[in-house]
Amino acid sequence: MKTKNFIAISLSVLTILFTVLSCIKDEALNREADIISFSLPDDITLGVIVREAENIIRVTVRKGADVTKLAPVIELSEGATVSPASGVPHNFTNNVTYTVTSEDGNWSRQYTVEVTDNITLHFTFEDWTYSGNKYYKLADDTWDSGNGGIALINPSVYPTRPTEDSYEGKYAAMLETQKGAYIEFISKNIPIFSGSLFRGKFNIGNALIDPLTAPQFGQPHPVEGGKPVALTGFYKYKLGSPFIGSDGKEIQGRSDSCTIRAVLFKVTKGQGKNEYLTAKDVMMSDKIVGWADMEDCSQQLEYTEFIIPFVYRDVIDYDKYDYKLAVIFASSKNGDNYEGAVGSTLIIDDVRIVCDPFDD
Amino acid sequence: MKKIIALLLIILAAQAVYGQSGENTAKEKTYTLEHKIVAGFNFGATAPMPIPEEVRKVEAWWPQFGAQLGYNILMRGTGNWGIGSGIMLDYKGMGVRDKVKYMHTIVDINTDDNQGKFEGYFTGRNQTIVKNSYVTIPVYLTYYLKEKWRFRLGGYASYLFSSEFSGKVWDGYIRVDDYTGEKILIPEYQPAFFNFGDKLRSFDFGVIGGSEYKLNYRFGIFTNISYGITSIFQSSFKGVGFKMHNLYATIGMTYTL
Repeated sequence: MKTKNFIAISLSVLTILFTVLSCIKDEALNREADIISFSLPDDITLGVIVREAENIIRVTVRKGADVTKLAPVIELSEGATVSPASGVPHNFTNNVTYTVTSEDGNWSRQYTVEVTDNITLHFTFEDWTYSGNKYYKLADDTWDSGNGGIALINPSVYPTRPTEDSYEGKYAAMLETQKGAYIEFISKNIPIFSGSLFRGKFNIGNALIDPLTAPQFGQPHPVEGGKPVALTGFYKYKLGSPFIGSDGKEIQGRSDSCTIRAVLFKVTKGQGKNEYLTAKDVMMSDKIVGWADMEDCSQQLEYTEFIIPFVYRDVIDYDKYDYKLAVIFASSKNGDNYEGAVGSTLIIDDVRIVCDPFDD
Repeated sequence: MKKIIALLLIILAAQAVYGQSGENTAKEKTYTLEHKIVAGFNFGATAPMPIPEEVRKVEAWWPQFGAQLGYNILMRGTGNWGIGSGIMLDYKGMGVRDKVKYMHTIVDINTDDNQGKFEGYFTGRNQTIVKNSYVTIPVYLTYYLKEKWRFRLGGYASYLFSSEFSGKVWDGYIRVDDYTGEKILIPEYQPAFFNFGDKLRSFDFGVIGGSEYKLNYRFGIFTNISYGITSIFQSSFKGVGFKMHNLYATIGMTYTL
């Protein structure tokens, strides 16, 4: 009986101890005051670069676009507020300063927004942000990758991320094919995840239902942008091994290759906002008018320049159509069919789309 | 000040034990002495008390090797009251894995794009391992109940002779300097590490309370709870944003000599 008393007392002591230790306070209000994304209407925006370190947001719009009353849509740190407010029209002829205040009201940041109408089809992959604090994404949100889809299965490594092994500047983009996973939702084993980086949007909603339509390739390419004549840049490519087929089994004697490709395609005049190419039709859609494709994308251990001329099969006619331009990189060419080699790594830097003005 | 009080208590206790025992050899004994070996296991936490708002969720906790081994001397007066002291090897440690928001820390980052030591506010997941080895001198009042029970309440002074306070953070980010500073991602696959083992105070002073139940003349079982009033970190160290205290329960056996 006394031993029981002792045990009872001991247990009470422990219970008190753990109650004290496990009492969690209410969550503090957020103290961050970041602009996470800043967007102007799609039909005039060619690119947005958020330079976090310098508190500068640089928006490139089509040449001649009216910037006197643009209403930006601003995404902020959770709970934060911004002045001037998101969605309020503003004259961007001169730089505009936005002040973000944290949810708790104690912290703030000032961003300078510069709107320019220079067409910059020069991509240096210097500025990266984190989406949902989970994975890397280029700050220029005209670019996207498959990371968002891979996030659904919470991997340890995301295939697309920055690397300091750059050709120029501090960073280059690194795409590394990763080991896949069994995905319960579709009861399917996906043997590999290719790294990918493209101009366009990754539609996470489609990632598990119809993965080939998840990447939506292409960004508007207005007539002022000129006629794309070449895709240039620098790359390195290291082959992974072994090569794994879509059934998850090793295929002897086959080696991986990368994708470096740009495609110009036509969309409905004035209404092409939701028209894009996907992994299903990026190679053979009848909307494609021209492309630049690296045919032999094989191992290159040192930085190698690529200059790939555009090939056209159709005339460009801005009177009848609008056009979009897609630029696509992948560390495993057949990654869309989940074929490739874990470890295949494509590093790209200093990419340009060289354009000539149209004759007329 | 606290140190001085604790030292005084120890000296008084020593005088009470040794001084009086000498004095009383010729006279009739007005007290009885009890010498015992104690062996127990400490488990609890070295943690901020109460848990600060920075800690959002405790995902796991586990004890480290937490032996307590030593010698206690108890002196009982003619009534139900007595006094006790002793000297013990006292290992206190734990592991904890938690989710934190804005935890102030200093970490060594080694990711693809950031290397170095960064101080700031981390949000994400944290794992901390504490393994501290002390020599502890307790001083306490004892109350005897029905011969089988002893309850005690008092204080302790511990000297730290070996320490580890280390861990890692991952699956989150640190804002350098303040909440609007540079944001560095610390991914799941490239954790950042911290080690504040050399920033701990050499002494820990605190309070103890507990009970003992005598199974027979020789053996007893005891339970004890101890709480360190002093923060375990040196006051000059600001790396960890909050004061941390030792809060441990001990369960063990006593053997009366």
